[in-house]
Amino acid sequence: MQVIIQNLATEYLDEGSGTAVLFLHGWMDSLHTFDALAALLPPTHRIIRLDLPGFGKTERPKEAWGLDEYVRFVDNFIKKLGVEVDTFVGHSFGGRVILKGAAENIFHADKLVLIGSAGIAKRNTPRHLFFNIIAKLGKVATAIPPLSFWKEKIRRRFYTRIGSDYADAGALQETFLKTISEDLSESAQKIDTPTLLIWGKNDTATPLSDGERLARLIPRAQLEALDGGHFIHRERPEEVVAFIRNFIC
Amino acid sequence: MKTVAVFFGGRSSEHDVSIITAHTPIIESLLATGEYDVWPVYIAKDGSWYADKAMNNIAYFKQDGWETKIAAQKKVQILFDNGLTLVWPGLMQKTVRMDIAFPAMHGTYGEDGSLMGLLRMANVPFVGCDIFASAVAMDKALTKQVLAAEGVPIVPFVWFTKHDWEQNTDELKEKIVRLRWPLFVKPVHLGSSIAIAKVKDEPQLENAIEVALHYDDKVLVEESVENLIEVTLPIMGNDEPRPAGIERPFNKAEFYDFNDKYLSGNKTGGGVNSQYSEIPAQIDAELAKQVEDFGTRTYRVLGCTGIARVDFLIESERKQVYVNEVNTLPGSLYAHNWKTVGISSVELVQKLVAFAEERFAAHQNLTYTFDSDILKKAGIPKSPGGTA
Ligand SMILES: Nc1ncnc2c1ncn2[C@@H]1O[C@H](COP(=O)(O)OP(=O)(O)OP(=O)(O)O)[C@@H](O)[C@H]1O
Repeated sequence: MQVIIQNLATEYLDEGSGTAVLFLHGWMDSLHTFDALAALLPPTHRIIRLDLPGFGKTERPKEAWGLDEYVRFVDNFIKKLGVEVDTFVGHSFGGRVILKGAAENIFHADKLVLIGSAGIAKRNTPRHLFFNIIAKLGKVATAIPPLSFWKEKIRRRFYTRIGSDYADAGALQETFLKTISEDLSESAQKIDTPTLLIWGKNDTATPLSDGERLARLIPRAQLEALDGGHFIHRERPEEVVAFIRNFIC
Repeated sequence: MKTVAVFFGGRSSEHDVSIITAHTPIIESLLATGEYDVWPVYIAKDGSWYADKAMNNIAYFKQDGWETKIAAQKKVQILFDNGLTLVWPGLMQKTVRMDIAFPAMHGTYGEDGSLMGLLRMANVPFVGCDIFASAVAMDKALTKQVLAAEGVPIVPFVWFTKHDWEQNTDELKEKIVRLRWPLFVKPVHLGSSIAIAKVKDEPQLENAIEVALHYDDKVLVEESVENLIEVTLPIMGNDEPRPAGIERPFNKAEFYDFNDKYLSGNKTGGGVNSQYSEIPAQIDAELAKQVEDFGTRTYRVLGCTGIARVDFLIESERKQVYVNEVNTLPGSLYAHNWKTVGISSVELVQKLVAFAEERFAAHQNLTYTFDSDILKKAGIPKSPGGTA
């Protein structure tokens, strides 16, 4: 289905009826990342999923967006549907959006579920340093030829070590830099909604230590770790759904 | 040997489908006759024109990096000096004059009459519908209005522009509410089911209209045909339209659940694969008769020539046949369908070329110029001003 939000044709699915659960997918992913979870959740829930701007079938914003813009967008989407969200479920970047939205009191829900959530910046790791430099150079780097050349060079060198999210982001590179440059540790402390954290023990994108850190920061959090990686909701949908059901029912 | 220019590609979302239509069946059948010197004229997505006989082979468009390869080629220019001439400029300038043009471009610029306008200006015979039928068929609302005026049954509808909707929302809503729900919302100029939605209540209606107006500046809202059987009928000819087999595609509504989905993606492919359709459609003889009758009437009323395809919506319980829309360039000419009525692809393209020449000849016999003394009377000084 489509709906227009902030002049962007937005793809979403709205299935079932009952208490509303809104799913937000990760970077470079789409609403279909939750297909297995959606199929396994009992029909007593209204399951709403959308493609975030720039991903899946939703149009890409004309300017580079920061995290706040994504939060505002999701808020507008909720208002347009006229739905009261009972539970937010976010994976990776989607979790980041939820952390921010909930901390700022823009999202209101009874429960939050964060799966392999992003939001905890690692200080002094090569990854962090790299993005910090790139983020600071920003557009300047692309404008000045020697620098842009140099940027390409580091980009290639760091490519394998850092993961490909940034390199793959293409037209969204600037958005990526804007959204990942924000550490949400302070936001996490402000969240008073009961929060379930689900993590893959072998997650390399957002390691389990991030989950543990969030569990300490969010006042009413519980952490469940499963054998698996960053896409634990696709690897072990039955177990992930079981945790979610127990938590929200 | 007659020279034929086959036009394909184009700045439209149906660029890729056009490459297929141009090659199968058009170019391969024209070549198979041994009677034509075939010149592929390819218009890239950026609007650049190229013509190179290597492109007569569809394999050209399947090789790695073909787009970069083409971009490195010399662009072709077109001369309209009473006839259509391809010109490759440069020191070793080359020109080839075309005897016939064969448009194979779907969608915007190709199927909407733009290309036909160009070919009319060039005064070259061209295959398929002329500018007027093409332009009307490109607008679903205009098509319905023309058909309704001639008594061809269409589904009741309301149309409006973006501006109308913004200015007179309440008035339009009143009209829409009077239609029999559920309703379909469609952008009038698009195909491939882009931004088409079936709606059951007012909030859904408003959202769907907003989506449709995001893609087009004119939208129609029409009653939904329930107990739906969809059929399509390819037709060819000029003054004596001849129908092919009534075809029932199975890859349309069956693949979409309109009850809870807006169609947002492009459907893949343009031609209906014969494996997914039934020819002739197993429908009542009475319905089949109506389809042929309304089909040929539609063809005439819109002034189609050469070839076209008329789509129908049938309410199978009330046995009501409605004309839904007209496609003036059926994907791959619906050669698979023509085969079922005994017309091979080679015969098909030969007939289409003959229809093009027939229409062109008829045009040449019309009187387009009249002697007039209007200039003499206009009180303009005899010698150019200022130079005397
Ligand atoms: N009034 C209607 N009642 C029932 N179904 C409809 C109606 N209008 C459209 N549909 C369904 O939606 C599909 C697409 O509609 P339509 O053919 O008008 O759009 P299109 O964009 O031109 O699509 P295509 O390129 O497939 O012809 C139809 O094939 C049919 O299944």
